[in-house]
Amino acid sequence: MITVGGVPIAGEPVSRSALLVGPFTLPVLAVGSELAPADSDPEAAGYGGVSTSGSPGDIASWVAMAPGSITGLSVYLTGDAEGSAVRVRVLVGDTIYDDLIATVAAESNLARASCAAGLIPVAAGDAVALAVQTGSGWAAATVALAASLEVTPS
Amino acid sequence: MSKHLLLAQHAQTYELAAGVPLDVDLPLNGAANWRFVVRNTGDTNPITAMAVTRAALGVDEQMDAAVAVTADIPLAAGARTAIVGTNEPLTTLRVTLTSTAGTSVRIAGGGR
Repeated sequence: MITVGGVPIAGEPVSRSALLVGPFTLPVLAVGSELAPADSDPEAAGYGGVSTSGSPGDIASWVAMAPGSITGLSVYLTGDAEGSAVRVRVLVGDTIYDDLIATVAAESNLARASCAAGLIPVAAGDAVALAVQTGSGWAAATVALAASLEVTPS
Repeated sequence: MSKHLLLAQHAQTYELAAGVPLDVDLPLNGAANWRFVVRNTGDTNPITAMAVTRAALGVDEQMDAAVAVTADIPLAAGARTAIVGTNEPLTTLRVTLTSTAGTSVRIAGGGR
């Protein structure tokens, strides 16, 4: 590798180690407004356990420090999903992306998903949180959600 | 064996005529890890363009394409920057410098 002034010259491979960002948490998952989680109004899972509830765009968020993209999402429930699945997507600012969806199936408590770099771009200063949906049959009233994101710098 | 145990060492001052690119061929002699400091020794005018070209077998054999450098360019009078190679076992590194208004530059460094 050749650098000038500490900066790799054009064409040099640049190491891009992914970052793990989290946890995003939701202590209580609200019952969905529709039968299918995908049709329900989303609620937001905030960053770091600061906010207990909130709407997308109005909750504690992780503030991106450098340009990159969201490439992975892992979700954990403290108990099995009951009555419906749980659908989790990425919220950047006021935009919910469908490129990365982790779905925890009913009677399960784990999910993960990944997508290609560049599909969910973030710029330095963007506020990132998660959008969570359940169905109207949601019955796991004491189950909490914890999730983490994989962020790949560009 | 050099007194500094280096495969490559080079230090020289060059005049950059206004608007005329100057090729400086730094002899690396197969050194894989090297560092050269480029200092604009002029009083007024910046170095306005820099490019580097890898020459694995020297400048008389087919070289890589030149790569334009943007970091630290323009390089103001009195300022310096470092060209650093890591795991780059080359025979020669060609550094092409241009100053649109003309200046002088000293390049010094080495490696092994």
